[in-house]
Amino acid sequence: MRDHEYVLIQRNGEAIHAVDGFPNEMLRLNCKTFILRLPGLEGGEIVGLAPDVEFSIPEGFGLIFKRRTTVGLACNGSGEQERGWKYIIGIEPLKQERCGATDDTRT
Amino acid sequence: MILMAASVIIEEMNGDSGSPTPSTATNMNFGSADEANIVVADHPITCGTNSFSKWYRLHITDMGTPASNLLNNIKIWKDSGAYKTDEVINFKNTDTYVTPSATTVGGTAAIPTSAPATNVTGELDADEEYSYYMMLQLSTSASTEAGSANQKVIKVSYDEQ
Repeated sequence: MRDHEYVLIQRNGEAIHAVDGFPNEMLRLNCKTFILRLPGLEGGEIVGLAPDVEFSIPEGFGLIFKRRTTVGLACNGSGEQERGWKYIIGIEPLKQERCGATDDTRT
Repeated sequence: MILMAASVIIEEMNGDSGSPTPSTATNMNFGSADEANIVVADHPITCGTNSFSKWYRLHITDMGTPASNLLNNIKIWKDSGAYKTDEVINFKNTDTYVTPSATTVGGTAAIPTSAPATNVTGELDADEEYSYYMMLQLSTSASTEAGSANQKVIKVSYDEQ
Protein backbone atom coordinates (compact mmCIF):
# COMPACT_ATOMS: atom_id res chain seq x y z
CA MET A 1 0.00 0.00 0.00
CA ARG A 2 1.34 3.40 -0.90
CA ASP A 3 0.85 5.56 2.15
CA HIS A 4 2.86 8.64 1.33
CA GLU A 5 5.79 9.90 -0.63
CA TYR A 6 8.00 11.83 1.71
CA VAL A 7 8.22 14.04 4.71
CA LEU A 8 10.04 17.32 4.59
CA ILE A 9 11.02 19.40 7.58
CA GLN A 10 12.05 22.98 6.94
CA ARG A 11 13.77 25.59 9.05
CA ASN A 12 13.79 29.16 7.84
CA GLY A 13 12.63 27.96 4.44
CA GLU A 14 15.50 25.52 4.08
CA ALA A 15 14.97 21.79 4.00
CA ILE A 16 16.88 20.25 6.84
CA HIS A 17 15.44 16.76 6.82
CA ALA A 18 13.72 14.97 3.98
CA VAL A 19 12.62 11.39 4.36
CA ASP A 20 11.68 9.21 1.44
CA GLY A 21 8.99 7.09 2.95
CA PHE A 22 7.52 7.69 6.35
CA PRO A 23 10.20 8.00 9.03
CA ASN A 24 10.17 5.26 11.58
CA GLU A 25 12.45 6.85 14.07
CA MET A 26 12.47 9.83 16.34
CA LEU A 27 14.10 12.77 14.63
CA ARG A 28 16.61 14.64 16.71
CA LEU A 29 16.63 18.27 15.78
CA ASN A 30 18.02 21.51 17.05
CA CYS A 31 15.95 23.39 19.55
CA LYS A 32 14.49 25.73 16.99
CA THR A 33 11.30 26.34 15.10
CA PHE A 34 10.44 24.12 12.18
CA ILE A 35 7.86 23.65 9.51
CA LEU A 36 6.67 20.14 8.83
CA ARG A 37 5.36 19.35 5.38
CA LEU A 38 3.75 16.12 4.35
CA PRO A 39 3.30 16.41 0.61
CA GLY A 40 1.93 13.42 -1.18
CA LEU A 41 0.25 11.93 1.84
CA GLU A 42 -2.43 9.64 0.54
CA GLY A 43 -5.36 8.65 2.65
CA GLY A 44 -5.26 8.09 6.35
CA GLU A 45 -5.48 10.69 9.01
CA ILE A 46 -2.89 12.81 10.72
CA VAL A 47 -3.29 13.43 14.41
CA GLY A 48 -1.07 15.73 16.39
CA LEU A 49 0.86 18.35 14.52
CA ALA A 50 -0.94 19.42 11.38
CA PRO A 51 1.17 19.52 8.22
CA ASP A 52 2.46 22.84 6.99
CA VAL A 53 2.35 24.44 10.39
CA GLU A 54 5.14 25.98 12.35
CA PHE A 55 6.14 24.26 15.50
CA SER A 56 8.98 24.30 17.97
CA ILE A 57 10.71 21.53 19.83
CA PRO A 58 11.77 22.29 23.39
CA GLU A 59 15.17 21.27 24.63
CA GLY A 60 15.37 17.59 25.43
CA PHE A 61 12.51 16.67 23.14
CA GLY A 62 12.33 15.22 19.64
CA LEU A 63 9.80 14.75 16.89
CA ILE A 64 8.27 11.33 16.75
CA PHE A 65 6.11 9.65 14.13
CA LYS A 66 3.81 6.78 14.89
CA ARG A 67 1.34 4.84 12.83
CA ARG A 68 -1.71 3.61 14.72
CA THR A 69 -3.52 0.62 13.29
CA THR A 70 -6.95 -0.43 14.43
CA VAL A 71 -8.56 -3.73 13.57
CA GLY A 72 -12.21 -4.46 14.34
CA LEU A 73 -13.39 -8.05 14.51
CA ALA A 74 -17.00 -9.19 14.81
CA CYS A 75 -18.10 -10.84 17.99
CA ASN A 76 -21.12 -13.08 17.41
CA GLY A 77 -21.07 -12.10 13.80
CA SER A 78 -18.70 -12.74 10.98
CA GLY A 79 -15.62 -11.29 9.47
CA GLU A 80 -13.31 -8.37 9.90
CA GLN A 81 -15.38 -5.23 10.33
CA GLU A 82 -12.76 -2.57 10.05
CA ARG A 83 -9.08 -2.01 9.45
CA GLY A 84 -7.78 1.53 9.51
CA TRP A 85 -4.74 3.56 10.35
CA LYS A 86 -3.71 7.07 11.16
CA TYR A 87 -0.49 8.85 11.85
CA ILE A 88 0.28 10.25 15.23
CA ILE A 89 2.88 12.98 15.10
CA GLY A 90 4.06 14.37 18.35
CA ILE A 91 6.88 15.68 20.45
CA GLU A 92 8.30 13.39 23.08
CA PRO A 93 11.30 13.48 25.40
CA LEU A 94 14.54 12.25 23.93
CA LYS A 95 16.12 9.30 25.63
CA GLN A 96 19.70 9.92 26.71
CA GLU A 97 20.68 12.09 23.75
CA ARG A 98 20.93 15.79 24.19
CA CYS A 99 18.67 17.99 22.19
CA GLY A 100 20.86 18.84 19.24
CA ALA A 101 21.83 18.00 15.72
CA THR A 102 21.45 14.46 14.46
CA ASP A 103 25.18 13.90 14.80
CA ASP A 104 25.28 15.12 18.36
CA THR A 105 25.91 11.99 20.41
CA ARG A 106 26.83 13.64 23.67
CA THR A 107 24.88 12.54 26.68
CA MET B 1 11.35 3.67 -1.17
CA ILE B 2 8.04 3.35 0.59
CA LEU B 3 7.92 2.23 4.18
CA MET B 4 5.85 -0.88 4.60
CA ALA B 5 4.01 -1.22 7.86
CA ALA B 6 4.72 -4.20 10.05
CA SER B 7 2.69 -7.35 9.40
CA VAL B 8 0.73 -8.18 12.50
CA ILE B 9 -1.96 -10.80 12.99
CA ILE B 10 -4.43 -11.33 15.79
CA GLU B 11 -3.74 -14.89 16.76
CA GLU B 12 -6.07 -17.16 18.69
CA MET B 13 -4.73 -20.05 20.70
CA ASN B 14 -6.71 -23.21 21.28
CA GLY B 15 -6.15 -26.59 22.80
CA ASP B 16 -4.29 -27.91 25.77
CA SER B 17 -1.92 -25.51 27.48
CA GLY B 18 0.89 -27.98 26.94
CA SER B 19 0.69 -27.72 23.16
CA PRO B 20 -1.77 -25.02 22.07
CA THR B 21 -2.56 -24.48 18.42
CA PRO B 22 -2.37 -20.99 16.90
CA SER B 23 -4.83 -19.72 14.29
CA THR B 24 -5.40 -16.35 12.67
CA ALA B 25 -8.57 -14.89 14.13
CA THR B 26 -11.07 -13.65 11.57
CA ASN B 27 -13.76 -13.10 14.18
CA MET B 28 -14.13 -13.17 17.95
CA ASN B 29 -17.24 -15.28 18.25
CA PHE B 30 -18.00 -16.89 21.61
CA GLY B 31 -19.42 -20.35 22.05
CA SER B 32 -19.51 -23.50 24.11
CA ALA B 33 -16.49 -25.12 22.49
CA ASP B 34 -12.77 -24.53 22.21
CA GLU B 35 -12.51 -23.56 18.56
CA ALA B 36 -11.07 -20.65 16.63
CA ASN B 37 -13.51 -18.62 14.52
CA ILE B 38 -16.33 -20.59 16.07
CA VAL B 39 -19.72 -21.00 14.36
CA VAL B 40 -22.06 -19.69 17.03
CA ALA B 41 -25.13 -21.67 15.96
CA ASP B 42 -23.23 -24.91 16.32
CA HIS B 43 -22.08 -24.19 19.86
CA PRO B 44 -24.66 -22.07 21.73
CA ILE B 45 -24.03 -20.88 25.27
CA THR B 46 -26.65 -21.93 27.81
CA CYS B 47 -28.07 -18.96 29.69
CA GLY B 48 -26.50 -18.79 33.12
CA THR B 49 -23.15 -20.14 31.96
CA ASN B 50 -19.99 -18.74 30.43
CA SER B 51 -18.59 -19.12 26.99
CA PHE B 52 -15.33 -20.95 26.66
CA SER B 53 -12.48 -18.55 27.33
CA LYS B 54 -10.88 -17.07 24.22
CA TRP B 55 -7.16 -16.38 24.10
CA TYR B 56 -5.86 -13.83 21.61
CA ARG B 57 -2.51 -12.14 21.19
CA LEU B 58 -0.74 -9.98 18.64
CA HIS B 59 1.87 -11.81 16.62
CA ILE B 60 4.41 -9.84 14.60
CA THR B 61 5.24 -11.85 11.53
CA ASP B 62 7.33 -9.11 9.90
CA MET B 63 8.49 -5.76 11.28
CA GLY B 64 8.32 -4.26 7.79
CA THR B 65 10.83 -2.78 5.35
CA PRO B 66 12.68 -0.90 6.60
CA ALA B 67 11.89 -2.44 9.95
CA SER B 68 9.84 -0.48 12.41
CA ASN B 69 11.58 0.18 15.70
CA LEU B 70 8.81 -0.62 18.09
CA LEU B 71 5.21 -1.71 18.28
CA ASN B 72 3.41 -0.87 21.51
CA ASN B 73 0.45 0.92 23.08
CA ILE B 74 -1.76 -2.12 22.51
CA LYS B 75 -5.41 -1.69 23.37
CA ILE B 76 -8.55 -3.77 23.18
CA TRP B 77 -12.12 -2.61 23.70
CA LYS B 78 -15.71 -3.24 22.70
CA ASP B 79 -16.53 -0.59 20.17
CA SER B 80 -20.16 -1.30 19.34
CA GLY B 81 -23.00 -3.72 19.94
CA ALA B 82 -25.40 -3.83 22.85
CA TYR B 83 -25.39 -6.42 25.59
CA LYS B 84 -28.47 -8.37 26.48
CA THR B 85 -29.58 -8.63 30.10
CA ASP B 86 -26.67 -9.66 32.35
CA GLU B 87 -24.47 -10.39 29.36
CA VAL B 88 -20.91 -9.11 29.68
CA ILE B 89 -17.56 -9.73 28.03
CA ASN B 90 -14.77 -10.00 30.56
CA PHE B 91 -11.15 -9.28 29.76
CA LYS B 92 -7.80 -10.17 31.26
CA ASN B 93 -4.28 -9.13 30.23
CA THR B 94 -2.02 -12.06 31.04
CA ASP B 95 1.14 -13.80 29.91
CA THR B 96 -0.14 -17.22 30.95
CA TYR B 97 -2.29 -19.29 28.63
CA VAL B 98 -4.75 -21.65 30.25
CA THR B 99 -6.58 -24.42 28.42
CA PRO B 100 -9.90 -22.84 27.32
CA SER B 101 -12.99 -23.87 29.24
CA ALA B 102 -16.31 -22.48 30.46
CA THR B 103 -14.97 -22.14 33.99
CA THR B 104 -14.98 -18.54 35.14
CA VAL B 105 -11.53 -17.05 34.64
CA GLY B 106 -10.36 -15.13 37.68
CA GLY B 107 -8.85 -11.67 37.74
CA THR B 108 -10.93 -10.26 34.93
CA ALA B 109 -12.78 -6.99 34.41
CA ALA B 110 -15.45 -6.02 31.94
CA ILE B 111 -13.89 -5.10 28.63
CA PRO B 112 -13.76 -1.31 28.14
CA THR B 113 -16.47 0.15 25.92
CA SER B 114 -14.29 2.90 24.48
CA ALA B 115 -10.62 3.10 23.61
CA PRO B 116 -8.72 2.87 26.90
CA ALA B 117 -5.17 3.66 27.84
CA THR B 118 -2.83 0.79 27.06
CA ASN B 119 -4.40 -2.35 28.50
CA VAL B 120 -2.38 -5.10 26.83
CA THR B 121 1.27 -5.63 27.71
CA GLY B 122 3.69 -5.61 24.81
CA GLU B 123 6.79 -3.69 23.74
CA LEU B 124 7.60 -5.59 20.57
CA ASP B 125 10.65 -4.87 18.48
CA ALA B 126 11.40 -7.94 16.36
CA ASP B 127 9.81 -10.49 14.09
CA GLU B 128 8.04 -13.38 15.79
CA GLU B 129 7.37 -11.52 19.01
CA TYR B 130 4.04 -11.62 20.80
CA SER B 131 1.98 -9.46 23.09
CA TYR B 132 0.51 -10.76 26.31
CA TYR B 133 -2.70 -12.70 25.89
CA MET B 134 -5.99 -10.85 25.60
CA MET B 135 -8.30 -13.30 27.34
CA LEU B 136 -11.99 -12.77 26.66
CA GLN B 137 -14.89 -14.65 28.15
CA LEU B 138 -18.59 -13.93 27.75
CA SER B 139 -20.76 -14.49 30.78
CA THR B 140 -24.53 -14.68 31.07
CA SER B 141 -27.13 -15.22 33.78
CA ALA B 142 -30.40 -17.07 33.92
CA SER B 143 -32.04 -13.74 33.09
CA THR B 144 -30.23 -13.37 29.79
CA GLU B 145 -32.71 -13.59 26.95
CA ALA B 146 -32.48 -16.72 24.81
CA GLY B 147 -31.67 -16.35 21.15
CA SER B 148 -28.82 -14.82 19.23
CA ALA B 149 -26.68 -12.24 20.99
CA ASN B 150 -26.26 -8.90 19.29
CA GLN B 151 -23.28 -8.60 17.04
CA LYS B 152 -20.51 -6.57 18.61
CA VAL B 153 -17.26 -5.21 17.24
CA ILE B 154 -14.12 -5.71 19.29
CA LYS B 155 -11.31 -3.38 18.31
CA VAL B 156 -7.61 -3.91 18.78
CA SER B 157 -5.17 -1.10 18.10
CA TYR B 158 -1.42 -0.66 18.30
CA ASP B 159 1.15 2.01 17.54
CA GLU B 160 4.15 1.47 15.33
CA GLN B 161 7.21 3.68 15.10
